[in-house]
Amino acid sequence: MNLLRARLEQLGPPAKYRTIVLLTHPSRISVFTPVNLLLLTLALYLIYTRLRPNPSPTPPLHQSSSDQAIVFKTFTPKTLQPFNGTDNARVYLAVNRKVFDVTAGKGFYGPGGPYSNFAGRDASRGLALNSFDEEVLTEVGAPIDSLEDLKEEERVALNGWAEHFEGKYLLVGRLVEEGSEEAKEAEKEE
Amino acid sequence: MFDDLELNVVTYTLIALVLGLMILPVIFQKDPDIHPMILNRQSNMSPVRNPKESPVHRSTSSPPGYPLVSGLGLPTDQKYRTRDGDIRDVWNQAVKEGKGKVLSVRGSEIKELDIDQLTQNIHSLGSYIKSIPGARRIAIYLANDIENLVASFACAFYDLTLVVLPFDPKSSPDVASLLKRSKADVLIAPAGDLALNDVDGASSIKEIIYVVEPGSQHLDWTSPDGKVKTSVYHDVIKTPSTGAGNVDLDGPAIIVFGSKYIGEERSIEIAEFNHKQIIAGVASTIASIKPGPETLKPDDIFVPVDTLSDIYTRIFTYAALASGTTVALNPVAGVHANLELCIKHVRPTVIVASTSTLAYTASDAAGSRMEIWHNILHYFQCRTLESGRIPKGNALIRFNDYTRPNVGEPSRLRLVFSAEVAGDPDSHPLNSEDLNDLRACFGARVVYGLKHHKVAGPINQQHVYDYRVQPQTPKPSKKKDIPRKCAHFGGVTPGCEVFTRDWESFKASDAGGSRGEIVVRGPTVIGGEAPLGVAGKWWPDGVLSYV
Repeated sequence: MNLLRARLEQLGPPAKYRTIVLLTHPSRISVFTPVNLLLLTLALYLIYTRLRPNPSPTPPLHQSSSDQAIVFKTFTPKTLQPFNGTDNARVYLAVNRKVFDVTAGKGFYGPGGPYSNFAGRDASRGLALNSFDEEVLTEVGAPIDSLEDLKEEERVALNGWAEHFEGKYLLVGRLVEEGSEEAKEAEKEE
Repeated sequence: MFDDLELNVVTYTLIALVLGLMILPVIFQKDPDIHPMILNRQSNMSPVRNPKESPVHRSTSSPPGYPLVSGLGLPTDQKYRTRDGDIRDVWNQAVKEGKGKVLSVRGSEIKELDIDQLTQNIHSLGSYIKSIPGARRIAIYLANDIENLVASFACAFYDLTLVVLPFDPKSSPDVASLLKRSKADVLIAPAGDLALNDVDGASSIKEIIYVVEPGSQHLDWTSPDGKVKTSVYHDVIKTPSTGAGNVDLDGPAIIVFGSKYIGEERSIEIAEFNHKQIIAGVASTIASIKPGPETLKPDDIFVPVDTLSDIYTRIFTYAALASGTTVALNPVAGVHANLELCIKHVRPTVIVASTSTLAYTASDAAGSRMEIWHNILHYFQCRTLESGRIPKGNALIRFNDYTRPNVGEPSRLRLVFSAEVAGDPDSHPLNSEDLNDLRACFGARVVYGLKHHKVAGPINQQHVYDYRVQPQTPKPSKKKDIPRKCAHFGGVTPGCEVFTRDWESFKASDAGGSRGEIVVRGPTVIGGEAPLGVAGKWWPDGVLSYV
């Protein structure tokens, strides 16, 4: 027995254990190999990104309210006329002294549409009489149609149309006589 | 080259660490409480604006063209109609939907009062006051306690006008002149609190009802010279009640006093609300707490930490009653109340506090963050807030936590409401960073808003899930005389619409957002429309702030 132990001590540990001891011995492991250094910097960088202040992404804001909204304007027949889809991209028309933005219905009221005669004009008489002819529109230079000679059923039709417009389209202004008090005030303010 | 690559234990550890850092946070990531796009549009703007005015802003739940929230929507006999209701319905809803009790807090003692007993008290008090000849206006000068509620609803049921005199437990405001101005007929006040000399000047007073605390009820409280009749509350509520009659919904129901500032001058203005405006305010408040999980529920406990003589706090209390929430009243509540003293024994879930109280609490908590570990904790809690969630804390926090304000052990607080008084130079501003610190401290949602004595309920209120921080640059400092600026007030509440009108250099067409004098319109506003006398600015995400 003692002979065996003495012989083992002489030989040293068996071969396979020797390799592991050799490889895992602290003096043999180099922490700072290029791979380790690379991974270490990567780990430190990731720790930094996970711990730094992290605001959740904010989606882009839309334009401020001052740019978005349309200003309610006072129109005269002359200033309303350009808004017919050709001189100005937006299409407005007037019903009962109220100006509506009908650009959404450009296919109907814009250039080339079936009701394009109404664009930029006072459409009240035309809607009351259910006619899209040129004759029912008053000239731009003339005073606004007073609609006094309308029959009862025509007034009912006109009110029905006015409600339709109020429900469907945006009210963007009012129509006043050229040279009236309100028109002058509105010009001054602008 | 790759033959020489030495992959040792350290390499494998580092590879595991790197992969872990890349993958694990993604797996365990939690969604923010709300989608950021919703916070980007907190008001509904009208597409057309009048010249010299900003577009009219409304709440997202009241789009332009639809009516503003004006009532509780109570069922009627007909199937598809709802009725707005009035202040009596607030109490009836509390009886129907609530848990049947109202709490009164005295220090660490919490008394539970049966709501049916209180209903009887209301009717007794109301009948008694109604039987006093010539009694139309009832002034109350009471702290936040059961008598305050009973008197308020007695006036509501019996068609009397409630005049709420400003009360503060820490100071004694001058009420004699206010009593005279309000032409009150009956005064309800704590016994021994108001000097009789103060009341002498008010010649219209026909009777004083003293609220006597239980310890002094054996004393005789009749007035010495017999000029004004006196009675005691604890006897009055025992009298039998006659039935309540009809109520005029358009007559003055609640009168409060507010400060009006013209330049440097301060005067006190009387604000008269009728039933319709109050109920619109209550409905607007209930509707402004969205979404569903955050609304006031019968399981909640609500404590007003500000005095009920402030119309905003009063409306919130009525909103809590109408939703069936258990209301707990603490007489310590006031504008400068200490938050801990007021609520730590009740452990509420929802509170309304004044900005002074919250500012004091925030600076207290900030002062206790002295160690580096506390600052690291606070840093990580703010990171959770930035990612859109409320930091709840874990075992690591309880290991060595800074002294947070004690809002109950364990805390149940989930909502804190506070509002800036529009145009008041003495109000305490709360910064966006202060609100952030408060959210981290309480572990609850802190909601800021805007209020005014001419509007019932909040005018603007932040979204409950809006935790965004807009740091104030340059930082406020007393040394350099840089004042603290208020955070933004959020979107508009469902009961009113707000716009700005051009004023001096602040125009509606300003780039970056319309600016001008803030004007409020709607069923919650006295007179339908009220300019607030202070300049505001609209931001692109639909929130209002001071200029």
